[in-house]
Amino acid sequence: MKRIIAKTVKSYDIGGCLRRETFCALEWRAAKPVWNTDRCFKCGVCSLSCPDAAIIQVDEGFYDANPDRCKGCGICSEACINEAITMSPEKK
Amino acid sequence: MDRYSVFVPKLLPETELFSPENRSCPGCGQAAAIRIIGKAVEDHRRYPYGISNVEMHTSAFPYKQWELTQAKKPGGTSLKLDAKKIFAMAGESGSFDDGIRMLTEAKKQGKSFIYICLFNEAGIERHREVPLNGYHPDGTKSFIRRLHDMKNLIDRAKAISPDFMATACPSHPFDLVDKVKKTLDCRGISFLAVFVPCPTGCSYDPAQSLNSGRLAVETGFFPLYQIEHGSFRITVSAQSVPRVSEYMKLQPSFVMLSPDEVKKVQDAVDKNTTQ
Repeated sequence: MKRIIAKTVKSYDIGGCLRRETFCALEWRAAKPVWNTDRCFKCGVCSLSCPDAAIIQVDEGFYDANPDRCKGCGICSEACINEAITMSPEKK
Repeated sequence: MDRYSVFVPKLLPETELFSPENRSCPGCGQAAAIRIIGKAVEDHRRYPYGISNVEMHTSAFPYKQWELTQAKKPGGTSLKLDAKKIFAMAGESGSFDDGIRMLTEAKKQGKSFIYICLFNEAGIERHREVPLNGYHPDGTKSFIRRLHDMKNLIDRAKAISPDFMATACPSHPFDLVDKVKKTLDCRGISFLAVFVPCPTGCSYDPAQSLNSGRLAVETGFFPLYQIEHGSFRITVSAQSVPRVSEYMKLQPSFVMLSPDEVKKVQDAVDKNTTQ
């Protein structure tokens, strides 16, 4: 059994058929989250509730969404305690 | 939730083991649940990676969205450690039957086995593996009929009497993290049923995804509890118990239900919660 596992892993390493590529949701998403820094108190609920781990911490502890990963679902705006996040339609 | 959610990044690890760039729908509850489970597992060697509905949107053929190196060190001490604890994660559809068989077999052989079952709202109509108070987006008549002849998944898992079993929901992340950590500490077999909201399957706004999960917990549709070595405990008790109709209002798939039928569902939920 161990030999079989070793073989398959080796073949993946040499052939490299499994790979990661950048994924761009920017092309098809309908809306994007916009942070109001006056209302944000850096609690981080948005980053926890995001299913795609798109929300990262930027300068001065504020949060922002990675445009490649964010699919514009709007969960962060619902989860925000202080209503600091609004969803604005994406311009094409 | 509001009380605990402040200063979240300090309480949970920052590591992201699960795919940030997966192919799930916007607002996917399953992706949210697996991400939080990944945060709780931490040790990537124990991370689940098997054939299940989870793989549908994370491992389309040439791409890989897992930050894991599960089988990269065959023969090492790490793999021997892994062999003591087997971690499986699957959906509630056909793979559930396999999971139940694996649970019984693991109990017979005295092995340590964790099975995490992800409940999706949308697949329920076809597989009938929901509690009595279950629901589905199909039609009224079949909905009421199905209340009587459903396979009760959680009861079937309970019949095996695992050492630790619990229900969880990604709308209560700290509860979910606690329970996953308890399953990792448990020596025998453990079963975890996770309710995942599906905005695409039930056709509601993706932004309401986690809210619908929270309402499902608070109304009693999917009560969160744990059974640890036979002792039963409800882990999340709703402060104000809303009616089931509030939860149903959120989803357009329940528009076809008449008030009488909503009342029947409420009665079933009440009966279930008082037990």
